[in-house]
Amino acid sequence: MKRYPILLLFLLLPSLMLFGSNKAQDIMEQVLKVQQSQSSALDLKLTLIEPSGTTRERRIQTLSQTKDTRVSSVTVFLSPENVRNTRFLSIEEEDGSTSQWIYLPALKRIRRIGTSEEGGSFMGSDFSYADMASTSYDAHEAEHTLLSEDEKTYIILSIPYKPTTYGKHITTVDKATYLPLLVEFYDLDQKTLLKTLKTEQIASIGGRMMASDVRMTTIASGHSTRLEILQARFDMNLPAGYFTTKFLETGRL
Amino acid sequence: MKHVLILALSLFLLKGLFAFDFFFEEEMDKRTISFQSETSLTLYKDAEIEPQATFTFALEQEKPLYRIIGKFTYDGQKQQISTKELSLSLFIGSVQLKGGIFTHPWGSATLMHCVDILNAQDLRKGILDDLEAMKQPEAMISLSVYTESSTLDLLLKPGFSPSYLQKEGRYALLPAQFATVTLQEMDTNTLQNIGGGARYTIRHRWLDVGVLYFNGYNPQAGFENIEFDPITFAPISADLMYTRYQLFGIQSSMTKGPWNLALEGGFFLSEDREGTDLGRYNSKWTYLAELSYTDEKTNAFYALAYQGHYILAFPSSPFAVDMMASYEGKPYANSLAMAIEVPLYREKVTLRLGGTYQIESKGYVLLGGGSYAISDDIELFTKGTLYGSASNMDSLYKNWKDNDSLTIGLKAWF
Repeated sequence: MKRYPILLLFLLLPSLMLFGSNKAQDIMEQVLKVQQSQSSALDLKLTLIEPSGTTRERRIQTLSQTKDTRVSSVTVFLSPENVRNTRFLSIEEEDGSTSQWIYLPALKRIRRIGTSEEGGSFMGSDFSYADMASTSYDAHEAEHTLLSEDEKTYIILSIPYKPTTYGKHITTVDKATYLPLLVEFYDLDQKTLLKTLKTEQIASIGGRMMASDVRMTTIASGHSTRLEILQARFDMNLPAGYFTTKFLETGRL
Repeated sequence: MKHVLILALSLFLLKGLFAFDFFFEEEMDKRTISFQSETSLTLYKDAEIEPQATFTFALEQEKPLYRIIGKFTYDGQKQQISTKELSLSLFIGSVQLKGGIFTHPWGSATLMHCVDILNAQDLRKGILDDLEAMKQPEAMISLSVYTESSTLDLLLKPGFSPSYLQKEGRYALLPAQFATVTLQEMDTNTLQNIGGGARYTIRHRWLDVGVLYFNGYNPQAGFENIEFDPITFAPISADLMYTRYQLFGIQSSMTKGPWNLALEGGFFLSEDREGTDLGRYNSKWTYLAELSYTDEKTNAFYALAYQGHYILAFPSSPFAVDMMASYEGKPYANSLAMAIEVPLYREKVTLRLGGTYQIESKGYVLLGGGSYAISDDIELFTKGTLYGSASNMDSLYKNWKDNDSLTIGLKAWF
């Protein structure tokens, strides 16, 4: 059985928040703000790239919405063929816990699955479940420091107060759009660079500027994953029926 | 020929090509046609080599109001087409009505089930690492009514398909004393054998729990009108018969972090309540517990399960079906099962190990395997099966001990 992800609002940000009054925190708050939405629909393509250049592709579509600060998301796996029509539902409960179910077409049944704070590789990609998870984190999770700035960018160091997977992030932020251009993920020792997330393209999608094409590279292996946003819509009214086990089981509202 | 006609009819119905996804303002029609081929070579312990080639084609037609699924497998060795699913689903508000030939799972565990009784098992290829692949699709109608946190599932089976009763060959199932008996089979797909049931499931935070009821037939055959050879007293002919029963069951699944505990249990109330009819199965209790764990870092999955049953009014006659199906005349049976699945190298490689140990007979089956994704659409796989027993007691595992095998093959999706 496969372990499936806590998906997804919008990804690409280091999962660190950003409250306070200093400049770095203000910048990171703005970074988050430009990508926040009450609801979203994303059509994503992941291309897994071996160091040899061999590639594999995964397609997913995901819907998410935030109501009363609680996030619900549903994800449909479109390809490859052997996972097509697998559907995943994640609902944040009132007490802060998360309930997750998966529908596997081969088994024709819904299974409740355990939750994970961090998770391993998402669909074999260089993104972890945590990398792909919601960015709606609580306040005071990290300390942000402005390392340097030039005409076009800020470079910000973020150190989480309770580090789990990463010890620090260094984010290069585009001054014009407040989108991250490069994120470096360091190990818990804060010295070893584990992964880099590089924005390859910024485009207007769904009425807003987005990092529409990014590449996550694992330094040790040289393996990388290109993530493209093929389509996106934001702040639309999503029927509640999407976030139910009925949709999970039938694919219908 | 019947299958070919069904296929031709399905192809005729499925015309037009549409698309459907979240990003259209209105839901659109969709049609998907997919193919899967699987070729393999199996080497058995007795040095027999068995080639296999199957080709599965699936057609799915989606409209806002309905979905048609046709899934058929062609076995190149046997030159047979079998229907895996042929169904029509109607969607009306929060109701789904589905009819046709398909499998419909009940139960909450992963490795074993004791309340997943709607489809008979198919053991013609031995014990596999895929419970759904060991089921026979059957004609049935299901009506599912959904609310925000619950589902009511109603089922109607106009007849039933009995479990395949392999008399001979590698995976023979019949007890030794019936191996040469002439068996008179009955037509079970008639309205006289109608069955039906319901399941109500509710979901609350970390817990899913369901209660279920079914009134129908046990697909395992019993025997009546047994005739004996007057000289050897060996049975020479018998009529197959089936036991109607009612199942009162529960299923549940609860999670805590990466842990999941699934429980299933039920009482099978036989039509032979007193347990006096040797050819019919008696009432029994069944129970199952499964604990599974998913590793957060590696996505590896580990599961351990226990399953057991206890038969009431257990008979003493050697020709009573409960006695024939028991281990050394005991009214109870208990089994343990485990499974490990580990994805490696960014899910290009998957390793699987599973096994079942039957406590009374000390019989076991070990299943091991692995797959390597050559590309997104082509997968190389290998699997090994080992049957055996740590005692001399008769059991399926002991009887199949010469069926140890190693398979290597290729799957491709189009």
